[in-house]
Amino acid sequence: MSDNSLPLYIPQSNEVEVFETAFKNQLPLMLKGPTGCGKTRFVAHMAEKLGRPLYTVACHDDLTAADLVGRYLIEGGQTVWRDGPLTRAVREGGICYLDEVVEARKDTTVVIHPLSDDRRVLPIDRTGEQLHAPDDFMLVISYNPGYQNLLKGLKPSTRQRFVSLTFDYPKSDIEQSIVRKETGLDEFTVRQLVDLSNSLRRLKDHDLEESVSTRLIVYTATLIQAGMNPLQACRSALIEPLSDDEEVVAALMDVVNAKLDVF
Amino acid sequence: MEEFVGQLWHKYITKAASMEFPDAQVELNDVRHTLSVQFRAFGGDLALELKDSLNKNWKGKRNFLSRLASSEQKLELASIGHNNLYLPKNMAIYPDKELNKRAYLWLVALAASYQPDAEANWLKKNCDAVSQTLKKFPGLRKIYHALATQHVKIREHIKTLKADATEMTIRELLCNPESAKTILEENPDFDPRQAFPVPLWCDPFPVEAERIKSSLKDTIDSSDHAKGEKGKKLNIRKKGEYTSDIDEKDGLMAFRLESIFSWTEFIPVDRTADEDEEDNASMAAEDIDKISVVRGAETKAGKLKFDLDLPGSDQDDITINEGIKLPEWDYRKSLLQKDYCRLHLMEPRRIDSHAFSSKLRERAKRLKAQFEFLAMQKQWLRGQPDGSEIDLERFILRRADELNGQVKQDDNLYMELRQNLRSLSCLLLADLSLSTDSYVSNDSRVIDIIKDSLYLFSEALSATQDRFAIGGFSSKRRDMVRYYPIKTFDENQSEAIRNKISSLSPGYYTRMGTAIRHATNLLEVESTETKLLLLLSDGKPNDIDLYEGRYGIEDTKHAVHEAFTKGIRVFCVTIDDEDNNYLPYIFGSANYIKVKRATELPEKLPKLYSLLTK
Ligand SMILES: Nc1ncnc2c1ncn2[C@@H]1O[C@H](COP(=O)(O)OP(=O)(O)OP(=O)(O)O)[C@@H](O)[C@H]1O
Ligand SMILES: [Mg+2]
Repeated sequence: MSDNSLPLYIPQSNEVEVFETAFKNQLPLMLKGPTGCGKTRFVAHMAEKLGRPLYTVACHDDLTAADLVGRYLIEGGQTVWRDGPLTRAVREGGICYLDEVVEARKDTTVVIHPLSDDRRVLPIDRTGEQLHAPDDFMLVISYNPGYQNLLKGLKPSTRQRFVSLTFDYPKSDIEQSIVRKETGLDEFTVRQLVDLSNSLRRLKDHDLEESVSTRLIVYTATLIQAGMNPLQACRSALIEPLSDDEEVVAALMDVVNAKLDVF
Repeated sequence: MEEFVGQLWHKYITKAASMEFPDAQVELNDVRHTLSVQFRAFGGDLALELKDSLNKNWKGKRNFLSRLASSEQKLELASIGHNNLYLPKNMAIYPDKELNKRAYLWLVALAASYQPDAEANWLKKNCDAVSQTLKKFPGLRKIYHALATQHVKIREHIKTLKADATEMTIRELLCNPESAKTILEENPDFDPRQAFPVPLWCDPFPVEAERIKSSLKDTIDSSDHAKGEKGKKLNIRKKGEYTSDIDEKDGLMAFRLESIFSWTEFIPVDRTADEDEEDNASMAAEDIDKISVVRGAETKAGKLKFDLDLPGSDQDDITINEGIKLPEWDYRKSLLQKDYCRLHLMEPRRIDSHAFSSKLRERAKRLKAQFEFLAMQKQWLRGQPDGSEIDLERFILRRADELNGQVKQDDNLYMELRQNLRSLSCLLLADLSLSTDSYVSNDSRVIDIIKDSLYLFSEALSATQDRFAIGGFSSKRRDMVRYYPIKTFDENQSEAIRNKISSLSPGYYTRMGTAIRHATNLLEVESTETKLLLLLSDGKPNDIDLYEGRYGIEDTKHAVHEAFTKGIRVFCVTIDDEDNNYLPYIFGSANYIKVKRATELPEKLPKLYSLLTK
């Protein structure tokens, strides 16, 4: 496929086939992986590829079931029903993507239960409707497993309703081509950046709570491509976002210096 | 810069032939954290800890060197052992502070790609590491060349340093690391270990460093109690000289230490799948027993409580159950060895009625009140049939329904502040190993502070709805991991439990992984939503057998991971002021805290708990 309107996505392995197969067989999908590794991009790409509208909901701890399903609003003494993104996706046969689903309140996740098993229905209590999801409706959720989310992990009854795909930061050569395509930065610098990031990723759980994400590498490369001094770009987009500890930032900047040869 | 070097240089040359510039000295302690982060970022082994390298005599030209310097030549080089990365305790080889700092940076970068190996290969490995580092980190080239050329200049100025063929080759290697291969091929007999040392390279005798260091460590560990009694820290450096200076006059000890540490330290390389590991383990352990006696006898501070032999069964604590088998992780084989350890449930033999001070009891009361308050912390519950506020969202929905002509009778239109109902189980697991017997202040030992903390903690928690249990552990080899079930989840706080806490006494070692696994099993059957294992320890996993250094660390890390996969969060509180790099390795950076002053612990623990479980 070489459709130019497709959001660029370079597969890490067989995720495209898994997604397509799940879609064709009306199975919901769960994407697991660290922040900024391409989950959102992947879903956007797949929605476009499959020609379905995409409804993305960024979950947070105040998200209620009504935010997903819909609510009545009062307009000039009249009430109007407004579909939530989930309901719209069900009606239209689109893809509904619940990003960072563990952030949502536990009772919210229950709404998706009847949709994500073989019933594939969305009961709307308010209107008394019971929507049957068409074949081209698909539910996709994502979450970032790890120590931070341990205390609010997904319930097994939710987790086991989904076919799941695990993402990680792409292998070096794939990541380099991602960064190059996203930013147009030269091959040499991109290789240096990706190498450097892979060294920094080893520090996760030691000195840093998070890894350098592909997103941060893309940001850094964008800044360099726009003419910023590479050291400054690394400081602003690669190192500072990872730590508030000045000592660690300074220590890592020495390593950046050692890597980049731009003293 | 060069002029500056020149000036200082003259001063230095006239002073003495010591290769040091004290005015420009950088202390390892000031940059230790920075360097350990950098070592890992350069690709160094994550499990290594950054330690001071030892003061030792250069194996090579001893006479030559003593001629060279007025006092004894001090030599510290970078090296890598099985558990540690060693760096010089201070860096003063350049007359400029910035350069000395960079020398440290260079050494961690180099050490990160240096593969320690047999002595014979050292030079090649070292040169490979230099060129690899420069290739991988091209930004270091300028730094390296500055360091190398300055260093060569300094060498040129050492009058007594004869510029013989070896020395010239060293200089050439330093200045042209790119052509190391040809240089070495052209000088097949070249052996710089006989020459004046090169501080920009790794130590050619790392094994020795490791051996001395660990025998030293053991000496210090056992003197820990002495330290408490004397109320001040032992001078590590002094001890080191003492140990490495051992010769005929203390032959027995030197010999013993040697044999033991070749045992503990070399297992990781040589003995991966030895079948008689068992035999050797007990043999070496016996050696350790003997030595501790020898050592105990000659320690000035006198009374060393080193009861490595089990007390007679009529004096030891009571064993309730000795049949709990638990696995252990062997990182060298990547294997979880089934039923490898045996855990005994223990109870103190004598349980006296507790005598917590009135001050502590007062504190407990206050803390309890605070926790009662915390437990009552409230949350807005929406959609209630009654309550202090109107639930606006519900109200709007309901109005909308009415306007739509649907009238429903369940009008839960109110919000109510209610107690937060959480469902949580916490197990507090305390390290009762012998090291907790050391003093942290004039009148209290670590164990006293642990007991006080357990007491305050249990009082505080009894004011909440949370289910909690308390356990303590120690160990002596894998077949005797001792676990004291001080309070089970189902027991209520009581006088009996307070008495049990106050009757705990320290003993033996710290087989942490096994204890964590047992605690994990206890938590696993809890039916609460959230499960927390709170570990309280004063140091490293270690036991008398091979459970030491990396082996113990890897097993503990594995046990923590097993708990994690069972939905249990493990959080560790350590009482330690050392820079323990293994903590984040075992627990993850968000899952431990260090309490610098042990005396803070009793207060800190309950507060920490309320933070953790918010
Ligand atoms: N495989 C890929 N192909 C193309 N671009 C990618 C790929 N992976 C990552 N990217 C780049 O990384 C950026 C971040 O990816 P994305 O927003 O999809 O991350 P995410 O996994 O959804 O993160 P979060 O969990 O924080 O939402 C994208 O904007 C894109 O530039
Ligand atoms: Mg995303």
